[in-house]
Amino acid sequence: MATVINSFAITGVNGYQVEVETVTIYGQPSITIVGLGDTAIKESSQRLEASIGYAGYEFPKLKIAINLAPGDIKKAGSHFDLSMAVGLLVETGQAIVTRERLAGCGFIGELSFNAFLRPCSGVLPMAIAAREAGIKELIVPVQNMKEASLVQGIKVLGFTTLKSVINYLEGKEDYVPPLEEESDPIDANDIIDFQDVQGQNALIQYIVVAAAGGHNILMSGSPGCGKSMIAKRIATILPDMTEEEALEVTKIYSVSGLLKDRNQLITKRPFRAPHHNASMNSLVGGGNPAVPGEISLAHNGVLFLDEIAEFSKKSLNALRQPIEDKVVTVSRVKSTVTFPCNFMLVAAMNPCPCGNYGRAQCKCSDYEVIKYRQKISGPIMDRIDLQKYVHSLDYQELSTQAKGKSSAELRERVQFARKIQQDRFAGLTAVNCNAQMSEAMVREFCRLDEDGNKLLQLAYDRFHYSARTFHKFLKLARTFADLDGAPEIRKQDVAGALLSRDLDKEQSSLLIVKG
Amino acid sequence: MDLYWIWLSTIKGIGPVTQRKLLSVFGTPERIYLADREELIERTGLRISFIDRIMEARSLERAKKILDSLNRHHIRLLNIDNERYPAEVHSLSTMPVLLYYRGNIKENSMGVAVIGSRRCTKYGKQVTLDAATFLAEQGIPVISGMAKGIDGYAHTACLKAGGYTIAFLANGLDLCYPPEHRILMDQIIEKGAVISPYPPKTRPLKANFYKRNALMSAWSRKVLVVEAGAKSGALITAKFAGEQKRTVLAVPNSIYSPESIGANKLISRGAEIFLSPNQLLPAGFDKEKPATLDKTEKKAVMQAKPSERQAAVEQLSPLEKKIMERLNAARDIEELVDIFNGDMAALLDILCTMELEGKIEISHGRTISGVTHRDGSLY
Repeated sequence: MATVINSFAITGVNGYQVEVETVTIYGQPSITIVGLGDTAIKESSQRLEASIGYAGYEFPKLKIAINLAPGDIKKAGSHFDLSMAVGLLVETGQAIVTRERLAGCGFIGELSFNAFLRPCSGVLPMAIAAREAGIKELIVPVQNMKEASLVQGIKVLGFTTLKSVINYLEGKEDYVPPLEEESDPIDANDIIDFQDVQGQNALIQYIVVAAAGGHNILMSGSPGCGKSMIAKRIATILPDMTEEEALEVTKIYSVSGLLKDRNQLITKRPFRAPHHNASMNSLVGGGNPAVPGEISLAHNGVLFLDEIAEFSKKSLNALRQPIEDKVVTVSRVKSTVTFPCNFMLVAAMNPCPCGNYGRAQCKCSDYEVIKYRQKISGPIMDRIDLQKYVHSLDYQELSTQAKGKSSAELRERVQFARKIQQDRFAGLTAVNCNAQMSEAMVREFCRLDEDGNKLLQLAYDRFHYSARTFHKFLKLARTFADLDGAPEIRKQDVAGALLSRDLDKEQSSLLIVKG
Repeated sequence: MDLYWIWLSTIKGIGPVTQRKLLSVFGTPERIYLADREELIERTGLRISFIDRIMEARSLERAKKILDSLNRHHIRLLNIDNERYPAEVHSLSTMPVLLYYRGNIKENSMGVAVIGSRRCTKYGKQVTLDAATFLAEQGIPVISGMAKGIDGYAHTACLKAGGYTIAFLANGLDLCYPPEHRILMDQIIEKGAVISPYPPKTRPLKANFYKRNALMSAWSRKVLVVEAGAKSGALITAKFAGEQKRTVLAVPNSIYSPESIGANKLISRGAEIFLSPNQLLPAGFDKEKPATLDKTEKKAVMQAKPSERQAAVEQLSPLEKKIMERLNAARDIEELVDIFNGDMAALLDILCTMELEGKIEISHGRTISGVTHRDGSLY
């Protein structure tokens, strides 16, 4: 009877159980691994041969067949090494372990030629899959221990060598927990704060609104005025992630192999800033097997597209559906995977081709300006509620020592407004902030008081807004009111909302003919 | 017939002057095409080298190709026999005998050219807007070159005021240069015309602009140069205009403005100084109309009347007054926040209302300025 060892594989961001079955048959010495493995799995045979030898065991001179069941799903990765090695040693009688014992254990780990265990990616979702499969002990490389330990209700054991794993299984050695590592050095990203931003108080007001209502925002300004600096800090004023959210994010980072050096639950909201030459697949996710793209890595956090006008049209348009649905589905011939991508979009761009629009040195013609701005397609612009200018500061403003409000202060306001929204949308699925309101909800929730109504009427008569823009104003005004805890939208909320679309307003004053 | 016109106008090494001579002898391009060598030598008295060139070019293949693409791109032809080809233009011997156009060339299509540099300032844009709007309102065609900057603004302002405008291009009419003027070009074709001396597929090469500039100034009774740098193409147009006995006007500007070096130089060389759009009216145009102040003059006059401004200020609430007073020095929203003891929301509220009521203007999201109204009053 073949020896069966439990291991795991990843599809999308979730793990599933894989049974590694090993048999040895008399015949020409060879090793065959079946079960739709990728090249890394095929190459395991070389690592197996070397590591089993160096661990002091004998590599059997027999025909060896290893099956990764279920055999009809493609599998990838080098983390099956450990389970194959254990299976082979048990099958050939070099390790004496009962079947019952093995059935309660799961194995994850890559082997080095010298029989050491190497860390792998995707351990967190695999550990979750292990717990769901009813496995009691999960054996992982010591570097992955912290990550696997995030899963409650399963015993996680960390080892450094193949030999010590076998000795533990045979009962020759007791398990010795590895020494606690010293805490990680502070990441530079952990100490950024809105306090560092000087002289942009009016803008930060709007950033708070965007964060509070989940509104996507576009910042426009000349090079070096602080767009990126502000964008980086937006994640610091978003409300803390719930444990569930944190686990979701950590899972995505785990399968993307970005958790290796951190090894712990991600509690800070992610901030991703892909460069504008990013391909469509690297943004939305893709490859074979499919891996999460930048928008999924920004899940529950901030996706910052700097120089958004420079992104290819194709890449940008691919973001339309994910922004709307909060998930992205990557389809391949054999499989379809869905990655979550609930992010806040923060975009930045120059106001015109030369970047100095509005100043004397700018000589761009209005037609050039409009052409530059139209690089961002209408559907993407539609999904961005706020458009604000970022101003370059002069020396006087930079040299004042006055600090702005800290991230903690701002976060409190955001959290306050979010709480109101949670209560408002409590009975509704798929809506949890003002930006996601449908038109019917806008009618229901965005009631104006008398003065507010008058002001909006005045603005409407003067600028003739489209129905869509009108709804945007109402959603924004709702968030302004929520920040103050006002039940009805007041005049000052409408005023704030009306001043939140700088680019649109300016566009109406350009000297151009429209088609 | 068109085929022979195209053939005649595209013979290499034969220019408009010779073409005119041939036409005066033979009457139609077809007869020129059919004439044999001896006949050409005998009747025209042209140099043998010219005759050789005509004989060498005696094939209609290229002309047929051009004619095909004309049909594809809805481009039409205007030869010097056509009554829509203004006599004042084709009487100049260097003007092309055949023009390509799209849109509609109306009777009396000669107008006033408003031209200038591609990289212009806000000042240039404003002058162009005022001048082109004035011309449109007077029913005078606005002539320009559809280039970036001043040219584009001139056409745009004219179209917006419901006027008739003609653009002269230095490339084939099948392509749009600069590309961002695609919609503008479509609108000009719909409400006016684009004219080119070049057949389709001609690229906008530097050398092509001379012919176009000469044609553009010829088609204009007056030429207004708004802004022109030291080496601007508008200066070449002005030079042609001088040769063609058209009045050249130039907009004065600071002597330190690099965008106006050329325009100021034109003035120093005797161009008329542009001070008001009234100067653009061609001689003898609508003299019966009572003389009225045009907007530029109005602006200047009104700004000199402090009492009216005073009256406007008095309509403001005390708080608004306070803001207006501060606008002389403070220009940023943030600088005014102390009026409300740091309450940004309250400040935004009142500023937003004031803007909607047209008392101030907020640009770039935070720079505030008082509004100068059309009647010149500054609140």
